[in-house]
Amino acid sequence: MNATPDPFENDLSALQRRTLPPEWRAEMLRAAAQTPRVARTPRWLLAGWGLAWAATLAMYFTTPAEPSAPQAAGMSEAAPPVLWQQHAAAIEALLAAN
Amino acid sequence: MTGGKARPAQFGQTKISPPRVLSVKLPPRMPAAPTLPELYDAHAAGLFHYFASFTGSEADAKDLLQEFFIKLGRQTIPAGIVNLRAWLLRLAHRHAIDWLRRHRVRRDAEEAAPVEQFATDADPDQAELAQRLSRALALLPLEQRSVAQLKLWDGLTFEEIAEVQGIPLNTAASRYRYALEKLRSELRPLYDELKPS
Repeated sequence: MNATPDPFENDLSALQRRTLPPEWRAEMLRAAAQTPRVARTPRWLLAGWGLAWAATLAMYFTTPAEPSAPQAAGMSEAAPPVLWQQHAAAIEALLAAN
Repeated sequence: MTGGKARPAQFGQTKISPPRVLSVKLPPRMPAAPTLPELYDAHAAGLFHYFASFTGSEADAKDLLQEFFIKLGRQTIPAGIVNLRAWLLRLAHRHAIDWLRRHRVRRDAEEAAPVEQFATDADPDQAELAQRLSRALALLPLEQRSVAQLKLWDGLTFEEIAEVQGIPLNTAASRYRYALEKLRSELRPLYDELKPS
């Protein structure tokens, strides 16, 4: 890709570029020095921010999901055995009374 | 040589092997972060000419350079940058693109009078070539001119140019090839006169 330059390229490259006027240096460096530096976000704050996000995500993924609607319906259909026993006892009591 | 076989080490005898030289590779020393004056001395001229290839005017290129150094002064320059020139030019490229967007002068820049880029040579032939070259560069489209600048006078490789400008490697190479062909055809009469083969 970076082929050997031909004589024409060499001649162009050999031309010296104009140097900048010396007074620019002081002017520009003074202007740069007078500008207040931008306060960077401290590292501890960034780290804290990252930890808070990590904790939020961890809680999100580790918390079990609430049962969905069909599961809840299924649970109500299957009555516990105690209820069945009470139900059977009530029927027997009715039959005995008659 | 005693001629006998080497006897195995017996109990109580300790074989002392020669001390091994530990070949611990130390990490290369990280270059320290340069100061602003150091950056100016080493790179301001190159950055100015790069900006001039975008603005087409010396006054705008100077303003752009000043803004750039103010921007650099505001931020912390990281230590350990291997290719400082390419790093600066990448920032400068973004700065110049922002400037173009802000000013919407792309067309004007391409049609503006050429900035005198080259040192006035004592040799009149070289001075003539430099002047013609400045004019020929001004005729190139911005994309080709900026790539030619980076390749010919900043000494960047195509890989570095592609990274600086955020373009594919092949695009950088083809832009340079087109630029060079146009410069060659523009300068051919003078060049042939100066360099008879």
